[in-house]
Amino acid sequence: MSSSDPAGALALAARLSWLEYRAAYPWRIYLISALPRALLQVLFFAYLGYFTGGHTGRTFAFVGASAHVMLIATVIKGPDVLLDERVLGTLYRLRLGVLSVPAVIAVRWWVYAAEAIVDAMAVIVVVGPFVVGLDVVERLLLALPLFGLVALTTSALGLAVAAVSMTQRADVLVTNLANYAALVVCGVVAPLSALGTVGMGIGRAVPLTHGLLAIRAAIDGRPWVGEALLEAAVGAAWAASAVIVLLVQEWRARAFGIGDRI
Amino acid sequence: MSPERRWTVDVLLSSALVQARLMRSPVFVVLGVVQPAAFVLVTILARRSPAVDLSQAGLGAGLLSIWAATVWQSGLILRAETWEGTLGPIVSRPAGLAVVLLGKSIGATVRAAVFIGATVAIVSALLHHPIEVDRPLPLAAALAAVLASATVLGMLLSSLFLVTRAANRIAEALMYPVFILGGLLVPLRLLPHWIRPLADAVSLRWGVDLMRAASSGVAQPGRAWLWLGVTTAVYAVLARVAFRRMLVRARDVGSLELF
Amino acid sequence: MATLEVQALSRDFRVGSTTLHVLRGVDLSIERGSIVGLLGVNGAGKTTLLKIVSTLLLPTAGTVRVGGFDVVREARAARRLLSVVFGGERGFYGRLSARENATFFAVLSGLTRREAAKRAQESLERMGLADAADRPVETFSRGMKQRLHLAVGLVRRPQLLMLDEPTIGLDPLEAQRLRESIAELRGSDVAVLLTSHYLGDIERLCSRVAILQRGRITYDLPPEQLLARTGAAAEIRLSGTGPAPRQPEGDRFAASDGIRFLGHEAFPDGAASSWTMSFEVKEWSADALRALAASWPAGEITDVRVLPASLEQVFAELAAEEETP
Repeated sequence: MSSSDPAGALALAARLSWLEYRAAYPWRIYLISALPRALLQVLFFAYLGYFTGGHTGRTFAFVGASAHVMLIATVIKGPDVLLDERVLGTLYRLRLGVLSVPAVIAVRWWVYAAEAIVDAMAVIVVVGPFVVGLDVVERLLLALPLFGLVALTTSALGLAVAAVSMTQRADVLVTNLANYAALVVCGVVAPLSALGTVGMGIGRAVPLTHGLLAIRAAIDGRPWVGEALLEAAVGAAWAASAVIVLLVQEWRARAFGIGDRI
Repeated sequence: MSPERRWTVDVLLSSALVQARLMRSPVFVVLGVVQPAAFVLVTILARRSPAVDLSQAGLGAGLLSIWAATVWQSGLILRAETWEGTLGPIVSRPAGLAVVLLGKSIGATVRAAVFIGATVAIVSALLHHPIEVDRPLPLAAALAAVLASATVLGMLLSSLFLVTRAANRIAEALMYPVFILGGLLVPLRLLPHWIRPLADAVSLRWGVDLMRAASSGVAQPGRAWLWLGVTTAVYAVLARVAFRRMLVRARDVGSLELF
Repeated sequence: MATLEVQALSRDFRVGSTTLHVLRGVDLSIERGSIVGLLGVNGAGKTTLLKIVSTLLLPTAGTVRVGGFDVVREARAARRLLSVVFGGERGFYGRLSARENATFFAVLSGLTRREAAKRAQESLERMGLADAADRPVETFSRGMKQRLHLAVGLVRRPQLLMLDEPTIGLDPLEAQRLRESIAELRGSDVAVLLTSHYLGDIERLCSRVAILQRGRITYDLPPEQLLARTGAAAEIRLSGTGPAPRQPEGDRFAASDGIRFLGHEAFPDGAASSWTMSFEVKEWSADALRALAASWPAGEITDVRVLPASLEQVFAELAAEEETP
């Protein structure tokens, strides 16, 4: 592979990302801890929805939680792709390389987006039949491409969170803050209308909100394309923000020798 | 008090204070503030009918977070000591690891409880569903019992987590079973009949009954006190077994690096 | 009664299906007021021995007593009498200050909170850390952390003090200051067991040197007796310019001179040729000096180096022995 083969280099980065992921999260660990956590998290929120809103609340919360569960992979775990570079002291190598840092990181993120979709599918198939019935499960499975869209847009959120955390030692706080904020403002268990004007405004600027509205519309048989496009636009804005933050950090590191605090 | 007893109290107090100081980092903001606030908000905002009683949403959210803090803070005390390289220095000193662990667990639990309590009280009040305190003394007694149980659980988890490399993974998987079976936020009556007996083994499930009763002004069920005591005693026995096993692994087999 | 008594100490480790015999019947005793150095190649079992004595590890066989207390059956009592300093980058709560760390570990060592605060302050001052006492330990340099390890280890006066490579990471001045602090314990009521790869520390501080080889103590002697093992007091190296001199004949030196010719090397390079020649001096005497002077070659001698026998030579010989199956 020559230095003028960026596609090949990115493909290699993607493959190495898979190998690294497998080493950190072997199948056994996924099956005995990560997967049960995802299933039980959704079950808990479905019951919370049942407590607060009866059968309607339960279905509403289940659908919301089965999308929100993807944030475990894309917002809580995914940032390690970037943050590990800081911990291991390898960021300077990326910066000296021929590929841009955002491109390498984005490509390496694919495994977490994939895990997110697997989590969502598992939750729908395993928990869904007991909580919302097979009819809703079937409609949710047909809406899987929208879950794929949300996996990408929440990955953009995760990347932005990771980028902001690079110069501070508060990544655990910021990633979890993003996760819980999404739980509250994205219409996961509580409908958007309960948030008030300000809350709704904030919610609409966060990935997952429009995606969830699109998923709910799709399973109800209503038009969903508009919400899906809005979700894509919000995700793209967060991705662009993340790229800008990373590029600014790189510039500051070169210009002032700052910004690489571990 | 004899000098030996006084010194033991000093060890407990010093350990508790050191642990509380160590908890001034961002991760504890998540457990002490962000998570309880999120659970209170979501529960109250999700209500679709005035018939749903949310007077104890704050209490339930607070107890959920106490459990999460027990898993992720108290449960990882000994693991954190190995990461810092301080486990060996503690074991090689006359105070003894058991007393230090007890002190640190108390410190972790109490500090978490203070922050969680303040957060849920404030957020509940802001959302016009303040936590009711009809009978303060029984509520305080129940809270103290719950925190004591959480401390013992923390010690059990801490010892268990030290003998397995998958501590973080197990911690992840432990949170939601108790969220559900504990009846902390979602009442147990909503769960299927066949699963409810499992809830009886969770001490927090009895603690929340006691706290709800005190909060709403009804008499605390004696059965709940009894089972809170029994389950906590069982955890204490298991903690002792796990602790000894952990020390054997460390000192006898030599498979656990104490530093 | 010796402060530390180790008898027939063995320790095995199971690694998969293999058993590693790290210690095989170690005997060692240290009296109060003496400083004993423990030497051995990497993997010899020095740290394992320290871990057992400090009650962090149980022995497979044998007994260890600290102040008469068995470290297995009476671990708590033994811990009250000992202090171990392992050093290194870890071993502290990095987010807490030096003072907080020192005070906490002092309480665990048996002091009340009030005494611990006072002794921690004194110990930090003694180690030159008073100005940095309230800074988080994670901001400390390696040398400062090492000094903090020592401050914490010396916050109370134990009967047995064990130091594992105490001068590692310290600059020469700090290392010298520490050596002086340790030397002050000679003749006191403290027994000291010291391991170090800086053999200069061992030579300067220890009244005895114990060598751990293949799981056993093979030598336990005062340093001067160990040095005598090399069979020489010093090596002399001459360097000169010009054509290489003739090497002295085999019988050039009388046995009574105590001199042995070791060898020479020539570096021919036309007018810039140079050479070196080495001699071993078994024992310094007037005869030895006369014999040396008489044997030195004519021509320009540019450098004379006298290399006294050192523990390094002893160590190198023993390490070579250990590598030989």
